[in-house]
Amino acid sequence: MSAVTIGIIGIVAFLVLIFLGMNIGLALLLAGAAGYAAVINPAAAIGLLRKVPATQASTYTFIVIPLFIMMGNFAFHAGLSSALYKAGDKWLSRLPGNHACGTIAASAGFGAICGSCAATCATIGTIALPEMRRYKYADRLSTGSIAMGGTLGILIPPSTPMIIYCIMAETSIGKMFAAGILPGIMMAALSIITIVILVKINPDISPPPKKCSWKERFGSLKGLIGVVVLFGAVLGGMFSGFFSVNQSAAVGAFLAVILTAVYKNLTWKTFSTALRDTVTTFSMTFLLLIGASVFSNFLAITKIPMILADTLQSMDASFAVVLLLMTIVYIILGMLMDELPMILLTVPIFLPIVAGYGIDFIWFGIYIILVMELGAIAPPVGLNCFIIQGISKDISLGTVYKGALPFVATILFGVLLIYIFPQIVMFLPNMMGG
Amino acid sequence: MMKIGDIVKKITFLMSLVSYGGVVAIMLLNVLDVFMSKTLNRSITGAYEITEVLLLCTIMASFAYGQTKKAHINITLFIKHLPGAIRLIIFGIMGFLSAGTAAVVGYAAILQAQSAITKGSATGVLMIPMYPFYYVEAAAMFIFAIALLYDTLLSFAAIFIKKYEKAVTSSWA
Repeated sequence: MSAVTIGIIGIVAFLVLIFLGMNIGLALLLAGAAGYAAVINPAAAIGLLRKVPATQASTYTFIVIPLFIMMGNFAFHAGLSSALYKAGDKWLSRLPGNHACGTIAASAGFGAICGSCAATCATIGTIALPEMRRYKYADRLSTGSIAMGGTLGILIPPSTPMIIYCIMAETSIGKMFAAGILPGIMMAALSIITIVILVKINPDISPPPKKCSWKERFGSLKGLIGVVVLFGAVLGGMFSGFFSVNQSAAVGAFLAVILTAVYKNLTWKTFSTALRDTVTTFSMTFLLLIGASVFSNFLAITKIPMILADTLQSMDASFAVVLLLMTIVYIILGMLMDELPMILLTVPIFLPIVAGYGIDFIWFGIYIILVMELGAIAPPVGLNCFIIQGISKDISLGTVYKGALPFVATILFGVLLIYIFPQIVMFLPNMMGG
Repeated sequence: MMKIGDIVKKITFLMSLVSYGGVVAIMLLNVLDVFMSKTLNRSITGAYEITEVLLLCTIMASFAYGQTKKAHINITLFIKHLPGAIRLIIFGIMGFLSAGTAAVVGYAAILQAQSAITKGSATGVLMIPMYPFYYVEAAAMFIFAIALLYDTLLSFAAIFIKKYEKAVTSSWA
């Protein structure tokens, strides 16, 4: 049997295993190791298992994963999210649907100190949803804006999916983080515009805006000192070259613990809860990473990614067509799984194709993260929608999905914009040079 | 069955303490290293490699705890629509395959530890021998396999005893 045939069987076997409910990380490990044994021999597969897990779990660069996860968890317990929400609400008070717009702004701010879609959605949702219900916002608008705001968590750095992508693509984490800033701001702005349009079309979904004085607005900024300190130290330190990415992650996690203490929220309970959430999240992330690495080694010896890239190029398919096909794959996968498995599964296959067309890996990374945001708010999975429904059990999942629907169009529009204007992504990384 | 579950939970909780301590130690070590390099212009000798071995133990020790907290990702979108006994049998078989895979990784780690002893593998600066960390990896993977095996047994037990079914399916999306 040829290596390519074994490769195809391996991919199919992996898909069957995960759809039958097997742990995705271990399914990648099993399919990868079994495939490796079939192509070379069982001893080689054992050799692979001897080296890959230990290497993946002891690579110095990878400390950014647990440390940024830790930073996000402590930032949540520090109570920074409430201050963000208040400030967003006050500064956008003149806009129609101001609380919903404030939710987006707060999510964008929280995304800058937390790298997870789910954490951003849960954190801001817990504060914003009761508030918007108090002001008689339509559930559709309030839940939709929270779901959309949550997606900004993975687009605005630091972001766990971005780190994982950079590890897989062997590209600069610092540049990737820089690349996410403008698209993140753009998506936040587009989301606010979407809310304003929705309220203009149907004014019943939101109460009339209650204007705030400039004194109230500036007063709300006091609570943001912690966010500015954390954001400034982590991203400012990183982009100015004062800290390496790893150093930024360590300093960020440390500052987040200190801020939790400063805001008088550091108790034994919050400390252990934040650590527990950190450990369970990086446990899941690293198991996927190890599994994906074994599977990538298997795919590499089958040469499937390279053959696929050569075939597409020999067909003279334009990059737009190839990108459209990839986007469809991501939209379908996004209906079935979270962003991390999607990255780990597709990047080893897609990167050689992208490289063949001479496309920048940083641009492609931001593109796929933006496309993956669709999966976070669109049915049947739509993790953010589940989280919101968990916050307020009396709102039906159907209502949440309906609320998220206009934002699907917003994300698609954002995807189109970064395709037409790649400078939105590449402007800041190009400024960094090197 | 529940007694076995309690023992598994206790063991995995002990493993999680390694991860808790590990991640805090990595953070403190690196912050101290940054502070020293920026203020005193000298780094902690071997901070890089201490971080690496700490990371290995921290990550590996977290897997079993992640399993008891249902943190690992499974796609249950399809099997949850299958009839009761069939979905539990399938989920049990997948759990058994998962446990087997984790155990094989544990076995591979033992081989790696033995090889490290034979070759005298050590870190570059502080010359810390690597084999104990591979043994930690092996132990962590075997405990992970036990946690997976317990969930497998629970799946099969749930076919006959209804009260276990909720414990199996509660984490299904």
